[in-house]
Amino acid sequence: MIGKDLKHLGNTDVLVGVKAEIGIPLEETPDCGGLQVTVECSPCAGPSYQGRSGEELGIELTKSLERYLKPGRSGKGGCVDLRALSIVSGRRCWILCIDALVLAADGSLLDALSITAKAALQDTRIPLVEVGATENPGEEPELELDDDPAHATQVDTSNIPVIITVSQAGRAYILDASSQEETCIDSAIQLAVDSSGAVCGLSKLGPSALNPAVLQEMMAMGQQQGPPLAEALDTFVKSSASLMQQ
Amino acid sequence: MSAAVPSSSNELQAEAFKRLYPNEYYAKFISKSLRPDGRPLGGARATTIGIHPLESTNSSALVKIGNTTAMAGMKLQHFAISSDQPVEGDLAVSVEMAAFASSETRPGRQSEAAQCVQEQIRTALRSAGAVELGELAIDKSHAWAVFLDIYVLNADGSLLDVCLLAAVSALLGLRLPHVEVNDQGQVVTKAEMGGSAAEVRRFGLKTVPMALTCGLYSGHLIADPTSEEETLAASLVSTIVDASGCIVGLYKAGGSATADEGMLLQCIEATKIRYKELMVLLKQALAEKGIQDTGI
Amino acid sequence: MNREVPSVPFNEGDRPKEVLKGGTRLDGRGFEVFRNVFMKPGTLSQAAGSAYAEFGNTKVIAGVYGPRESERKEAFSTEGRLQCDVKLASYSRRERKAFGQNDEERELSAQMQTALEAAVRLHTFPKANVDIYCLVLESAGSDLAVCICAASLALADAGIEMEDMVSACSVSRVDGHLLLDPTMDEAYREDGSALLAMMPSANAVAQVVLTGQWSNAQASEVLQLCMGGCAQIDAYMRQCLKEAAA
Repeated sequence: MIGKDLKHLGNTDVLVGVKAEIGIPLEETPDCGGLQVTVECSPCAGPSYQGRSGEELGIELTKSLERYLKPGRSGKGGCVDLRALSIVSGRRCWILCIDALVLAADGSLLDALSITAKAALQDTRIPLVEVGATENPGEEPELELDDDPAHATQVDTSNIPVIITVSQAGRAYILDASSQEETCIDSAIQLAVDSSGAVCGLSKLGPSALNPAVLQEMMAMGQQQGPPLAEALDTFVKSSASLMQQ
Repeated sequence: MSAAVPSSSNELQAEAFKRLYPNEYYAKFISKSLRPDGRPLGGARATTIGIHPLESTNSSALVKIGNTTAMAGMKLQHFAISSDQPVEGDLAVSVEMAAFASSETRPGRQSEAAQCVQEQIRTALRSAGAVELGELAIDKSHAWAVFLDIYVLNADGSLLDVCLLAAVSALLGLRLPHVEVNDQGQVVTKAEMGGSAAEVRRFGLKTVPMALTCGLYSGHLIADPTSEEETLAASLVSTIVDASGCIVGLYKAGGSATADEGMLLQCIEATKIRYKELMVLLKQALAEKGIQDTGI
Repeated sequence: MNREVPSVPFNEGDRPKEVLKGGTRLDGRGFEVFRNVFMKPGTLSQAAGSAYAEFGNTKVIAGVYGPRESERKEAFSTEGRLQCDVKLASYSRRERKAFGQNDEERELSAQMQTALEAAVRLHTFPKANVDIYCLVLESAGSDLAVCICAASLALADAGIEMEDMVSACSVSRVDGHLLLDPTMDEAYREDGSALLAMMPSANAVAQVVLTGQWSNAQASEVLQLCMGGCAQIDAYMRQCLKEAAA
């Protein structure tokens, strides 16, 4: 039911935990489960992460991460297949809560968060639920949890993208900027890329405007990084899982 | 809008005089029984009322008096009445300044001016009995909760007058959908139960309260002051009356001058005259939208 | 209202499940056609600059104050600051919104800030603030794009120096079709979306946001479509300013 992962990206440390809860699906999308993202910044991460500014940064990161993971309001187009989380249509579903904590911040926070969230989701097990038969439709369904871990299912993470921030400083593009580098960049794009290299989301940051041709170049650069990163992550999760079993 | 660049040096001097000595500048006009915008002392600014400018609301109204602009919008919700409560609906009023309404407003907390106007409107509509809450009942156990939210878009004086006019215009434009409570205790439109679709019930007001704010300026009464005039006036008196001329509310908020009985009577008389003007405009605006059966 | 029983919104019927019936949009528009667009600068007397913008039923007012002293104590900077605040009126949507800033408004404000910062010449007002406030009176789709257009027109009306006007538009992808300037109903059925804010004369991207999965071909197709849309809006905005000045 629970997966968690700690990730270091240079000096950036983030911790992500995933919890599965049983809840009620939204009226708009009765056949889908839910996904909740919360990012909190530890005050230890730096002076600018204390108090209100830390809170605001947390909300900003939450919104960005949600945008890349969550489907649209129709329940379509998301990277986590929420339909797989449905238990009883319109009544009960699994809600995945992704709770992230930023422990140390040294640039490319969202990159680290997305990679860690993907790893944590890969590690997440959802127990098997048996739905008891109900006679009339108004009655609440009776659910029975199977606590045998062998019967638990895994979350399909094959489509979950990782976020790659491509920064532009003068005529150079840089990946994985440190916080020192982040202060000097003109602009940046956050690119969500899946394991096949397809774009799953994009957002621009930074004060300067971008020439469309430059934007395309930066996107191409980010897309190239997607597949190798996804592969490396996959190997890492598998090897650590087998370590755990030993 | 940026101030127009004065064309001649005379105008430039007048502009400088106004900036440096606003009080003297204003006094010169008042001594000639005129105001800088050309109005007589008792004259109100041009007023427009637009009903139902927004489609997402159950009713809405945009009111402009001079430059002061307010947009009122209404949303309907329903609730189950608990057995020990009277069978009546509810009306919630809120007034909010848009962040761009004036240079003093900032986003975030509700301003004091807005809170003050909100209470005055709430009292005029609820305590003074303009809205019959019993009329908002759906059946014995369900009733409507009406949320009336007013945004001040441009604050150039006499906020209460504009906001109250927007509130009553929106209330008079409100149509309650014909609904009933089905077996499961849910409130559904009659259409869902197989009735005709667009049936609506008009919502009437028992009385229509309207307001006029007057400024007291060195013994003169200035009707419908702009924000500039409000800062110069020694005190402000806002009067709310209904169709029969009865006083629904009378507010004199501090200020550096006192108002004697004669002054207050003048304010009330001015409000009654203004009431008739506004009522003509309101009826016109309602008629334009085909709303005639309001009983006002 | 202090009642024991909270009131619930009145359900006025469901959103349409199908927004493309027989290959046409519900309002009969072509896929690459805007709703009726109307804009007017200088609508508020109190603000330094203002504008009203309407795309179909989406209605926004923007007001600009400044350059003026910052309300908060802030560190010295040789550049001016932009402060953006986007608000949704409590009655702008189907369901009444409570007063007070919510996360969505915070995100809209941040996105608008990125879009406009690229255009405003911040070094022309060192140490000072320019405040841009938007109020969405009616939210009927493509809110952020309309806010950016209104704010840009208000900045021009206030005489704040800019590199270029910023115009914006959004696109929803529904059943594989790209719909320009989507309504709220269409956005509810999308599986991908794009928002682009452009400075057309400078040929520079001020803000870009993509959600959902995009192949390379479709990503460049949607960016092309948005760029065309921005150019149309830009031409209209310039015409509005000329008419207002005449």
